[in-house]
Amino acid sequence: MLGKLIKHEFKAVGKFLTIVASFMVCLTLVGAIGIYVFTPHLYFYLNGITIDGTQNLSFFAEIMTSLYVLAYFASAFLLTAGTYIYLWIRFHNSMYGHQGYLTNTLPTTPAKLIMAKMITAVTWVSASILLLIGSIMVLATATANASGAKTNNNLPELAALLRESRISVPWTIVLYFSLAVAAIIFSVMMMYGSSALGQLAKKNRVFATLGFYFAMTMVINVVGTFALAVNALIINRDKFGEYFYIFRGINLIGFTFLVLAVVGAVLLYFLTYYVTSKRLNLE
Amino acid sequence: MTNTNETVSLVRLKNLSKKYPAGPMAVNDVSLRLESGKIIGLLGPNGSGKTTLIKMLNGLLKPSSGTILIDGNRPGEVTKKIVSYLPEHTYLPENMKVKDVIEYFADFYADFKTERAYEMLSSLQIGQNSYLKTLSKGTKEKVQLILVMSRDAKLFILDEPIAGVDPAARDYIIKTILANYNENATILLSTHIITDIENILDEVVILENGKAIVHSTVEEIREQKGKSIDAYFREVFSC
Amino acid sequence: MSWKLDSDRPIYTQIVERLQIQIVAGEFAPGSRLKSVRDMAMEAGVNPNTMQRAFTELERLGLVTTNRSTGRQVTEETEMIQKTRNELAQTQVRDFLSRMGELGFEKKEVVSLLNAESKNAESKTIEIKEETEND
Repeated sequence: MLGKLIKHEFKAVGKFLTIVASFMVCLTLVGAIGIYVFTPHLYFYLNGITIDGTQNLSFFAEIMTSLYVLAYFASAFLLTAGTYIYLWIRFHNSMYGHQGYLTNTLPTTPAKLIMAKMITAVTWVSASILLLIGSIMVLATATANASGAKTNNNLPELAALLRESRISVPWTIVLYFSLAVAAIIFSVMMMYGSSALGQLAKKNRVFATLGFYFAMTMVINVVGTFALAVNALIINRDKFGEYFYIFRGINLIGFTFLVLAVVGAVLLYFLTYYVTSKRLNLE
Repeated sequence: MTNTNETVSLVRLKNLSKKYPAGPMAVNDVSLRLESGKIIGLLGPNGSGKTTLIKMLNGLLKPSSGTILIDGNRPGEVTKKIVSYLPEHTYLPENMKVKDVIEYFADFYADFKTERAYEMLSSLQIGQNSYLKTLSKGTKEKVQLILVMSRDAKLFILDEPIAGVDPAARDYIIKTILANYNENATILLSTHIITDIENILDEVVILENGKAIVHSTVEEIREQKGKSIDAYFREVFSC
Repeated sequence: MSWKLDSDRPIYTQIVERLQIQIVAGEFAPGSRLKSVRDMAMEAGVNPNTMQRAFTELERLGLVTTNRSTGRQVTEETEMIQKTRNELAQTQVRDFLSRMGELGFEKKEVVSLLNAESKNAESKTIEIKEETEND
């Protein structure tokens, strides 16, 4: 049943999100190609050499670059915030809107309904973030190669420093990877939790949902600051100059937030579950 | 050894009540037994508790007190497998095609009969590749009815199936309900339009202010009161 | 389209009456098979249980027989059908005579009225025939 729910959830959200992702991929390709084509011209222009003695080409290049940057930022925004908002609206409509009459009478439990949507959302958000990072790296590499700059790979150096400080590299990677996943799960559950609370309202559900979301952000700000403060007390600041203590300190903070994200996600899950099964308020 | 005197009713409501936080009792101490193989009308004016009762039967609302048993189970995952519900308004995703929705139902409901659904759709000449949002309101409602009636459920709950529908469509809906009736199922019809539908009812349950004030067979009312159900209903609510 | 049925009288009795008339008038031949309860119910636009009750009543009246292999059929006993035909006719005549009596008509007047009316009906059909022949 969970598998079926996930399958249909992917089907439902896939179309829009694939379009957004494809758009990003196209833009990245265009950008990379553009960089390779225009950088030599840019170089010549900056050095006072033009192709045919006019300034027109560079003007054209300026316009294109501005347009491209605009499009790229819009695409990046759509890919990140847009994906979130789209998934949020999707959750709200399918669970608590008119479609809720269909969803909540399916022969399954609220737990599976929520899990299916969460898994789908987390997968898409993660894919979108990876896509964005990939896109930026492609453009950066293109820029570097086109202008003949040298790219440094600093990662081996970092790994060596970690090993010197007797901090396990594999575990550090696991830590930050888990933190990323937990943060994504938590952010998705924040949307779902505020949606669930929002549907309790009789009127103006959208306002109620946003209100609850805002309240939750306040809470995590406070909790986060508090956690940082506690960490600051624990971390030994006297020897902070040494790499060992820097890395230990950062990893401690990372670990704290991992725990907070997991606890928060679990709490929000149970909140959403409780509201959906016992306090459903379909219009 | 089975005791044939004790039949397990398909639907058993016992002292069922629902009170919303800031309001009166929407459903007030209702006790009913609904048997299999009947077409039952759920009647009552606005605010009588019909919608609340239907939501509770579907597990969309939790009772404040009392119990609901459908085929011996409380509303939940198990009952949803045998209850087919047609809400009052459109509830299907607009951006799906007709055939996508059929596939959806077939995937989730083991008792869904795909051939039956396609038969009914083609007799109405509704294209399976049409997007739901391109269909007229009346056609959408027929599609929903077809989906609901294509299941071999034990309890069909139809909320206002003929309200706001033209007479020809009404006939079609009534015929569809009769065509898919079987002795192992119960059809619960909630309506405020009684005249067109009373000839197909076995029993009626009349709600007033959350209480079930009448539960009787239709023939009894006709024989004893010498009135149509519609006339009887008006009489009951004229005081 | 559903049958025209009065909602303030039990439906099954009205169905019985209607089917009686159809059988007596020969619309359903003796021994012919009747449609299933469900099909008849859909045609009439009534609850299948109601239709079932009507059939049971017709069986009780002897107009319909149920056989395990052949299903439901109109009785083959034409005497039974004749008997019902006469009974129905008698009821109509009795009602008619009593109503005419209320209007103050005597039997002789009633008879001459009947004769005149049936002659009228005959000539009307002849007129229609003539008209169609002239076209």
